[in-house]
Amino acid sequence: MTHDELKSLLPVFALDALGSEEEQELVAHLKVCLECSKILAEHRETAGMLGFAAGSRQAPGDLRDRILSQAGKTVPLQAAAPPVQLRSPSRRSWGGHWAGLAAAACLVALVGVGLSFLRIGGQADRLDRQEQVIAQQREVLNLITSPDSLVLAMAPTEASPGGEGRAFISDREGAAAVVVSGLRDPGDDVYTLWLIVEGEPQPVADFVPQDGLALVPVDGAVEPEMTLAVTVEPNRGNTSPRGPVIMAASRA
Amino acid sequence: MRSRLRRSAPEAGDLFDDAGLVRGLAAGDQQSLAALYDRYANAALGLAFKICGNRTIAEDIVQEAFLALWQRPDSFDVKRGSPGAFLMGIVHHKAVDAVRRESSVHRREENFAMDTPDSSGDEVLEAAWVSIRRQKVLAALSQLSGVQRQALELAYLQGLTYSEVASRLDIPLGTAKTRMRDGMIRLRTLLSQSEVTASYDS
Repeated sequence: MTHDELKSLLPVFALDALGSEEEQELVAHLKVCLECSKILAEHRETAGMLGFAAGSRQAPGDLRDRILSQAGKTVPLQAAAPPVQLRSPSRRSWGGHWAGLAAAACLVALVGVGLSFLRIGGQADRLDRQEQVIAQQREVLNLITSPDSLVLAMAPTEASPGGEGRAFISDREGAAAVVVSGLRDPGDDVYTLWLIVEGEPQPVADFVPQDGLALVPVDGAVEPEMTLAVTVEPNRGNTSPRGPVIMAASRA
Repeated sequence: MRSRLRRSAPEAGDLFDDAGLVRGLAAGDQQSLAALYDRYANAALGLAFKICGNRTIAEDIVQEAFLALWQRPDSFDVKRGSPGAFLMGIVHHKAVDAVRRESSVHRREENFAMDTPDSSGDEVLEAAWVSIRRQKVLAALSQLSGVQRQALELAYLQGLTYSEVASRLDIPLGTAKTRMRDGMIRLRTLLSQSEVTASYDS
C-alpha cells in the first residue's frame, strides 16, 4: 500500500476495526512514519473518548483491591528516552561527551579505512574514498561541536539491542550526523540509517559499528517533521526498511 | 484499603489533574493508580462489558488495562491526549482482542441502551465528571449523519472490523471505511469544539 492508502486507514485502525493483514502492514509503517504516528494519536484520542459513550458499570470493590495488590508486586518499567530536543544549556555537556565518542568513531573508522561508511559517495577509487571519509569526518566533528547544532536523543524502541545515539543537526550547514555507541556487532546483518520525510523512508547509509561506535553523516538538511531512524537490515542497499527500527529521533 | 489509599484532601487545581496522576504512576505512586481507578474504573468496565458482554472477562480486561498503564506509564504521552481516553483505548483494544480470540464469548447484539452512570457515595464527583464527558460525546455523536454514527457504533461498541460492518450493513467495503473515517474526523472536530478531549486537568 502507498503512504496515502495507509494514512487513510488510520481512523479505522484507531477504532480497532482493521483486518489483521492491513493492521500488520500499518503497524510496520507506523514504526517509520512520524506523520502517520501523529495523526493516529489524534484519532486514538477521539476513539478513546468514544468509549465513554458505552456508559458506566459499577465495578466490584474487590477489583480495586486486586489491581492495587497486583500493582504492589510489580514495579513500573523505566521509561524509554523520549525523542527530546536538547538545547542550551545542556548542549555543551552533550556535545562534549558525544564529540568524544565521535572522535573515537573517527579514529576507528580511519584505522579501518572507513569501514563505518559503506554507502557514501560511490567513488571507485579506494584512496579517494578514504580522503572523502576523512573530509566528511572533519565536517561531522565540526558539526557536532558547533554551538549552533541541534541535538536530538535517539529514542530506543522495543526492538533495540542496546546502545544509544544522538543526532546532530545544523541548519546553517544544511547537514546532520548521527553518532551511535554501544551497538553490538550486527553479524550478517547491517545497520541502516534512514531519513523519513512525510512518511517515506530514504536510506542515508548502511553502517557497521567499530567497537560499538559509528558516525554516520547525513548529507542534506533535516527539517522539522523529519525523522532519523536506525534499523537492522538483513542486507545492504535496501531502498525501503525490511528490518525493525531500533532507535529514532524526530525533529519537532 | 480504599480509604487508606484515597487522596483525603486534594488541593484545588489538583482534583482534576490527570496528568499529575500519570506522573505519579511514572514515579511508582500507588495512590495515583488508585485515584485513576476511582475516576475511570466504572466507565472502563462499562466499555469492556459493552463489547464482550461477559462480566468476568470485562473485569479481567479492566484489571489488565490498569496494570498495563501502571507498568508502562511511559506508553502514554500527556502532550498527545488525555489519560482517560488513553485508558479507554487500552480497554477497547483488549476487549476487542478478547472477543475475536475467544469463540466462547457471546456478544450481546443490538444493545446500545446506555447504562446509567454510577454516581453515589464518595465517588459522586468522579462519576459526575465522567457523566459530563459522556454526555458531550453522545451530543457529538448525535451530530453525525445516521450512517456515520451507525458505522462507528458497530465498529467501536460491538468490536466489528470494517469488513464485518460492511457485511452487516450490506454495503461495499470502501463505503464502510469511508463512513467510519468521515465519522471519526467529524467526531474529532466536534469534540475539539466542545473541548471535551481536553485533559481531566483542564
